[in-house]
Amino acid sequence: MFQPLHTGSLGLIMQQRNIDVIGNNVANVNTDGFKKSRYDFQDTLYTRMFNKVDNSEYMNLQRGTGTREYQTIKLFEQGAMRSTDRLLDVMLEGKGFFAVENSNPQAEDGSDTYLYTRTGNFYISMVEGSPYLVDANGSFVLNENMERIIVEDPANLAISPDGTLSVTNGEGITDILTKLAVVNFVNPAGMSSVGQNYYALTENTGEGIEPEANVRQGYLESSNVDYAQEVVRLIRAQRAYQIAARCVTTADQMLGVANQLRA
Amino acid sequence: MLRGYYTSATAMLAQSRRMDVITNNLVNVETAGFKSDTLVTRSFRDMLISRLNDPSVYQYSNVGPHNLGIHVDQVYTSFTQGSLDETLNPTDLALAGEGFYVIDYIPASAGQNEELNYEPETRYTRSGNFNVDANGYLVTPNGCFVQGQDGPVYVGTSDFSVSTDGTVYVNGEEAARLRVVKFEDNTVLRKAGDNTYTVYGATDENGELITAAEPEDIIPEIRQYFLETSNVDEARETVRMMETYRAYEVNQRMVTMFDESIRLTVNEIAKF
Repeated sequence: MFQPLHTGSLGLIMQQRNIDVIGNNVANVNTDGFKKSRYDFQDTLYTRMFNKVDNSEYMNLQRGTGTREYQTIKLFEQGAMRSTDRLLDVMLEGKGFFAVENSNPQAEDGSDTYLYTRTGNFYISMVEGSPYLVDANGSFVLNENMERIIVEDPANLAISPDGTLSVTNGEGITDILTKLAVVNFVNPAGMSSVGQNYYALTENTGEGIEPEANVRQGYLESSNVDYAQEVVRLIRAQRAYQIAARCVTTADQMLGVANQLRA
Repeated sequence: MLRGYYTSATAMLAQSRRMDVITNNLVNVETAGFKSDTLVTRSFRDMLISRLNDPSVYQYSNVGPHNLGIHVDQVYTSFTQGSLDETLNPTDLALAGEGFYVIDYIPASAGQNEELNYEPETRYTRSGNFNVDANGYLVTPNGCFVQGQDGPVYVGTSDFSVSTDGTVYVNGEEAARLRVVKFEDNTVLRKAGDNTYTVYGATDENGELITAAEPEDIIPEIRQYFLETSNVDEARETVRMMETYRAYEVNQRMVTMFDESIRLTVNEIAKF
């Protein structure tokens, strides 16, 4: 097949995927706890053009065959803090994730028993007569021992920066309940996004490490999507798309010219 | 046969090859660290045309030189610096000067099949968009280790910092130094896909590379949180693409005209 036609078409396809990632970022510009992704490119296999005249092997006579995805990397920059003054809203300031129980585990080896999230708007849900701490999807929020958390008196709940939950009653007596699970991993970017603001572990995630995060009660972490930056990336992607389309058109015209050698 | 026929045909072939190189540049306009290629063509050596069977002279005399066309000569890769794009990602390390990172390359598919026991090959790259693998080592997105002065670079987490001269600090302490090399003559480098380069130089009788192709270690200028954009100049490549297309077209006209002349010769002049 005429190589420039194929190369140009790869450019079109890959820029389309780039635009998909940018579009997903922009659609989630208001999703609390959302982390943006970036699509990176790499070049593909090079082949050697034939030069019958000079058989010296040392001349560079390579031609490329287009472009391809290098990685779609998730960027874990801290999102902006947004004050809500709601006692059950928490955000993580630093590196780490909350842990929730997966209500629908699929993996046979139990690797997705727990899911991880940065989104900290929690609620109380009565399950089997007890008030459990759950997230917006109803999944149980877990403590440092990966157990469900019961909160009897949410109106007086305090959450300290290290994640300790405590309730102070009317007489000033403080009762410490438990500590929120805050975890981090060697390679958080290696987690897979499974929707609903959850991340699941994969073989690229690595083992758990000490988190470096403070828990802030009464705040939520905004999406880390920078709208202006995404617009600039979109402009670049559209420009690259136009150029690739121009390559395809010109390659097609060249084929047309060749066809007219003998009209 | 009409020599011009073949001359124009060589030009069409060469322009078609040039188009391959230009389109590869253009679709890689967003590839970090990509370096633009240019195809250089060259004329065949001039031939001398002699006059034969001319009763007015007693011996052969030369009419003058004649050229048989052009052929592709070489691809020249331009290693000019691309501009730096701030990404705020700690694993993005742009090279802001000369040099290449050194990686232990294993093709992405081979890495998954341990039985293949693939020997890593030393390759070079300008693309600084790295990751941390599950064991805490600095790798390329395809899983190839990035070399430091003492082997693979252990960073532990994505929470490390890299100073301008390539020193990697983990938890405030110096942990490793990234290895960056430079080649005396960049033309020994060949692009090999996956944003990498291999060295292609002359070998002596033992199969060892001759010294001119050996890289030397240098002190780099690395910018963490940045990526180097491709150095493809879209405007120039687009203009070249237009030139290539027109050259292709005009040579096609020449071939068609020669074809028409032959047609006339065969069909009209020789009609009997």
